[in-house]
Amino acid sequence: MKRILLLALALGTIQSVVAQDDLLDFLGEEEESINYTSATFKDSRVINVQSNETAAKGVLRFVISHRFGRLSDGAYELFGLDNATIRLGLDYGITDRIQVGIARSSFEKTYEGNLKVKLLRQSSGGKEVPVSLTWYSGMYINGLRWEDPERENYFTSRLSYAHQLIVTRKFSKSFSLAFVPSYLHDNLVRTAEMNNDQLALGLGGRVKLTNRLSLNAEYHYRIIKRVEQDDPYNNSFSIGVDIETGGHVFQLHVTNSRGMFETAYIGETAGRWVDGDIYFGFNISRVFTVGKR
Amino acid sequence: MIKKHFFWMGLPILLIAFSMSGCYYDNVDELYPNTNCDTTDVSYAQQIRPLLDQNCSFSGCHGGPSPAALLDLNEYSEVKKIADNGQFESRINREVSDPQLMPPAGKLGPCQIETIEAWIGQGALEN
Repeated sequence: MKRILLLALALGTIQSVVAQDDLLDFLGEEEESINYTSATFKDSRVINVQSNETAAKGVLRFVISHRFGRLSDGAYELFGLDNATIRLGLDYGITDRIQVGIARSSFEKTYEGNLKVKLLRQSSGGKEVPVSLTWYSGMYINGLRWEDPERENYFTSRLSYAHQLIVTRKFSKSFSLAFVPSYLHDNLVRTAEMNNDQLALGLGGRVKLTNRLSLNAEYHYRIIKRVEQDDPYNNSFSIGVDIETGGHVFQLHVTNSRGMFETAYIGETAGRWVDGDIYFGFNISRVFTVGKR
Repeated sequence: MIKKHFFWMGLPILLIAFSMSGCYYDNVDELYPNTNCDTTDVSYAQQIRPLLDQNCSFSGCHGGPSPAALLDLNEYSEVKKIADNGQFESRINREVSDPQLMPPAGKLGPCQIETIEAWIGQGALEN
């Protein structure tokens, strides 16, 4: 009887140890849960270029952007503040990974529709993913009057497109980088020598200075340009700061690009930093929760 | 899990395919080869004046009771002044991204610019 009791006790102990192992396994898996990297950038843009950030599900983001005139215009034009181009945009998160947006820019009176999809998210823990991959596509409708209303004009001539693969990595709490290859297409260009397709590589970065302040910069190098000979355009370079205040993010910057959409700031930057063609500008965004979370 | 990844990766591919269907490789030279831009003996009254009326000399811009930069382009003398000092040709030829471009609403068409340049080259006459 004593032996049977001892055997039962031993079996019970083994079983409880096994059960404990299961529990530890379970807890162990908990510890190995996936930690997705958040806040790689403060806003959906580094400055001009899109970051990997999207509006969360059910969130509507209203973005107002301005680019003023040239600083070199001097005191008469209040260093460019008398002239401004404006972009008004609305972004909406259909899911936490898909964002759609519409916008209107005064630059070439352009209407815009866009889509941003988070393909892969940087994570650690149970799944080690070193970078985030985000896709961005935009379609742009030039709203300027036809230069010759008498000829047969086509709506498709107004259209241009941009596609970008946004590769981002948050290296530390205070340092993030974005590498952005861009493909641009214009349905109509002026001469047969001009390219309808353009290709560019962009690099953007963010250094966090305090909890509410960060320093951002970006540069776009055009590999295939719209005009190969006597190119009137330049590569875009911008530098600025992000300031976060509650539900707002203020982005203040200086740039040689006046346009605020992809085909404009990558493909049509006429300004040159060395000539003083520097435009002060800002992006302000405000989020509203309008849908079900 | 793999299916999920295919879904996310497939979305942009679908989108590119969709946008490619609306892609054209046109240029103005080939799309409108027969567009003649006749710049021989440009007439101020027949060609330049209507251009100015449509794009420049209306109220709120270079016209009306308080014309911008005190430049009233309804007056031939004022048009002649900017033609002679080079401002007319310079401002209409800026890049679209240049805030100094005139008219601010958008660059004039190539034939319109050629016509103005030819008129200036022919002496900017009130003909």
